[in-house]
Amino acid sequence: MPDASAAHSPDIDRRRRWLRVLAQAPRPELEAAWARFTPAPAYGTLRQAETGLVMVRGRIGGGGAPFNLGEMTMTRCAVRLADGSRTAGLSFIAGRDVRHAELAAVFDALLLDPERHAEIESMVIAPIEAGLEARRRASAAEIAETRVDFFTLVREQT
Amino acid sequence: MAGESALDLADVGPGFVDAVAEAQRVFRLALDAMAHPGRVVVLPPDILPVNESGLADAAAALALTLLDFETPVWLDGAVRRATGFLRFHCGSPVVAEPKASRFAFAADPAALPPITTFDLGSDDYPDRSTTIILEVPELRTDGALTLTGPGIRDRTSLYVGLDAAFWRERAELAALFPLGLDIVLTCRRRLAALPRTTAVEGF
Repeated sequence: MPDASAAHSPDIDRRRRWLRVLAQAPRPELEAAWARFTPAPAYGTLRQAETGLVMVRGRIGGGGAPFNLGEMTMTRCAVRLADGSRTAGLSFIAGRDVRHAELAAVFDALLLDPERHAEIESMVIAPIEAGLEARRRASAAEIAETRVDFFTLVREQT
Repeated sequence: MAGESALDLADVGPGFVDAVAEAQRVFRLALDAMAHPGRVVVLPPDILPVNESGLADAAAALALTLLDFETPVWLDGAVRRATGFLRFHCGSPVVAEPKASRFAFAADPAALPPITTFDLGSDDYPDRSTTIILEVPELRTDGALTLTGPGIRDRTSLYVGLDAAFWRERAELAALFPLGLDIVLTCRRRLAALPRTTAVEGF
């Protein structure tokens, strides 16, 4: 097994970023983005979207040893564009939304296609990422309002 | 896994459309074929209509149905291209040693290594042998080969298009029973099974 902390190529980091955005995107936003493509890019399914369980492991102990945190539901899909490039796209998303997984995989394939990358990046990924970030900030701000700072007065010497 | 290169999915064809239902139907076909040695069963046209796996249709359907991460696979030179397909869809490791394989896929009968180089099982677990899935040039029930054994009423005939050396080699394994090899012959979308208990004559 290669060391997970080893440096990845920039390509992998870039793809990881958009796969994260696609996986976290609300499905209506992906559907809306997909509807804007006319004609819709043709694709075939390599592996039909399927739902299963993955074991989530974390280094949550003090010693840093991996610990089985629990299982979570996950849906994965693999598609291939039907154009000449035959670019394949993958997705792994939390939950059981097979349509979400399929759309995410198609967008992944389109993003891997150098000719369409810039278009998809600006039309789909950037707006969704901005939305995710805005929601994260709003939620953080909401929580910050109720923040309590604990402090202790120095007791007066009598 | 260590030492394995990244998969290039551009060369991996699609698998089953409805994995569970289609695997069940193919399993039923394989069971029917195994229970009736020499019976030629045909893959329905709606299963695997698009097959870019590198294996013939019937062999690819069997792979998708029977293989998983616990079944090491050996491939002959003619089907080496299926490596990515089997790794992606079945999760099966592809091994270089015939002896280490649970399933062996071959499409070039002339280049098949001596069949005793495959795993014949052990006395404790004779079922843990290699199952050979061999693509043959012809597969008809009107040939000179005569099959007898469990699952066959009286006798049945078969035409396969393999030379006598193969059948002689297979017949010699009978002395090792319960060790032995189960063989599935495939020809495009057709398949027939030859479990180790089936005696073949007339080659």
